[in-house]
Amino acid sequence: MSNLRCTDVSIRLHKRTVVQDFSANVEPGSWLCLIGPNGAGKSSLLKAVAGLIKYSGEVTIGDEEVHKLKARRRSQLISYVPQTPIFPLGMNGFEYVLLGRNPYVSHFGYETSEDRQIVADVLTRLELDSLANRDVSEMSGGERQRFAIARAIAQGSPVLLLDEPTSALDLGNQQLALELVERLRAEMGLTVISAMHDLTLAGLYSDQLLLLHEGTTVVMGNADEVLQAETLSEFYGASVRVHRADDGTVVVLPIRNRDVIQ
Amino acid sequence: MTATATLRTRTGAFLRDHSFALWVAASVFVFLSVIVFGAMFGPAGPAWWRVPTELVNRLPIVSAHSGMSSLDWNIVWEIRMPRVVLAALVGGMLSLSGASLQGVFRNPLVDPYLLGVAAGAGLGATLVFTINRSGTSSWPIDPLPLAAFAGGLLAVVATYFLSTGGSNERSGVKLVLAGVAITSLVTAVQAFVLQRNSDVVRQVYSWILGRLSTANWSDVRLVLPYVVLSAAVLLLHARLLDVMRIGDDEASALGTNVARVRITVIVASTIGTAAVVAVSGLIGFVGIIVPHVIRLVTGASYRRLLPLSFFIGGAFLILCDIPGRILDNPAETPIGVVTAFLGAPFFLLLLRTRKVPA
Repeated sequence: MSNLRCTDVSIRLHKRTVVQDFSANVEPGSWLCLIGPNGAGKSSLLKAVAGLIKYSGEVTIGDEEVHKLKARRRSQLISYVPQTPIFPLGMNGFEYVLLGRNPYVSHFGYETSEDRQIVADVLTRLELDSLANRDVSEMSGGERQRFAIARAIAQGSPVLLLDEPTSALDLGNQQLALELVERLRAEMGLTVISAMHDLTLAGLYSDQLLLLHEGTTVVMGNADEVLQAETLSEFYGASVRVHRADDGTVVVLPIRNRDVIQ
Repeated sequence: MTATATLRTRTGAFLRDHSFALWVAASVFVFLSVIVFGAMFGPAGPAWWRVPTELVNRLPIVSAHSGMSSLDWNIVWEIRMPRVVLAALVGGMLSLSGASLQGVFRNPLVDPYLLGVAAGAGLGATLVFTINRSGTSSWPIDPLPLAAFAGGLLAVVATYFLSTGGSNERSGVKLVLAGVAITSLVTAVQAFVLQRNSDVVRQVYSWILGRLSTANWSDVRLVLPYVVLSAAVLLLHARLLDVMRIGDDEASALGTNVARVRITVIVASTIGTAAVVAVSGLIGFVGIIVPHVIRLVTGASYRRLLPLSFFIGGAFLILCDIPGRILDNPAETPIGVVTAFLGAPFFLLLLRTRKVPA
């Protein structure tokens, strides 16, 4: 297992700098959560690490520099689940997860029975066997999210990038998805980087939080350090109260501003 | 215990995909049967039942007595067979191109003429007709298919360069829009040329509506290399088109070079389509309806869709060509009219009743 290290990563999109000199070192097996208001650069950063957009600076996994890797090798190291994955009509759960084996299949080749076995094992592990025959486009939001994660797991990469993994889910499914990631991280030693809007959940599941604002890092640390009412109101423009429960959970509560209606 | 057992068999069923081989074998069988069937009908020639017997007789080793005269055999082999084989190649190529382009553009309504092949080929053919068709009859090579082929390719090349303009745009949306623009432009030029040469309007329209009636073995030899090459390249991309179904970003994140797959598929399908259009004119709807029917029957996976599109598309066009030969004899109903007549209502019905898988 090896560190994921970003050094002075800057991203320009549409002639605008969206991420500026981002540096971070993520220990193997740990979970880093990127937080920050809309447009802070969280998604761009994940896409850059996944090799989907250009950046300057360096992203390394162990001693391999990501942008110098061939696409196939890169996708063996990094899996990426976007905020709204596309679930094609007429593709069943098994076929969908089988796409995760693409990095191991030659350009014009086909999956081997070993690839199919790996997919079957991933489905069993995630308790998705019974849905393998179902059309992914007909699944519920929670089921889809678990299949998207299953596909990333079938990729067999040590690094997992999740863009807003819970934004489309109800409370129960949010927990289900995050607990699934948590469990897989523990069992397989996955390094997870996620972008999240729900600050309470972000604090609950990740080891470290990193607050981005207009493409620059404001603060990085554990939930207790990062989730401060003053910081959040300054960078999110939000009125919040931060409650620290006895078990160490940091809860971010919105405050209703009653002056809006006069 | 039983629950675990059912789970095992459920995923176990996916470990080997037997249905693929079955579907392909079935479609090849249909394809070959329809080729024989297509050779059994015509305005003149032997009784229909003699044809399969004689074909078996002509196979090496086997011998069967059909009682067919050599004149009848010439009608079957020199007149009907090239037409049937050409229909098979044209129908197969158009369906396969349509299915593949629907894959790279992730749009089920795309047809093989999307990027301007048809308009370009139409202009090329129109120019040959206006320049004086009768004067070219003595030429060693007929310039008509050549001009149509070149026109089709040029139009797609123009579409490609207009849409990229040097930048590296991956989504393909610009390409589709540029295709629409080029098609209107080229069609406008064609209309202008026709306006100036109203004496050839009838010939040009009969070419545009598509025809297989004048087919001979040299037409088949002309398109065969392009069809084989193009079909082989497209079939090699079947699995990659399945990967592309989840969109450019996710397919790239899975290690696929999306831009390369897209351009290779576009080039291959353009060459194949331009070649068949050059000998058969513009035969509409085959490239849309055949892939759609196959999706509804076997599912949307491109691994099955692409080979089946070729064989079923070929069989479909042979069958569409039969009423044209029998009805209205000795005049011919243009094949493009038959496919559109069957295809358009069917397609509308499909749109109303089904979810259209991409």
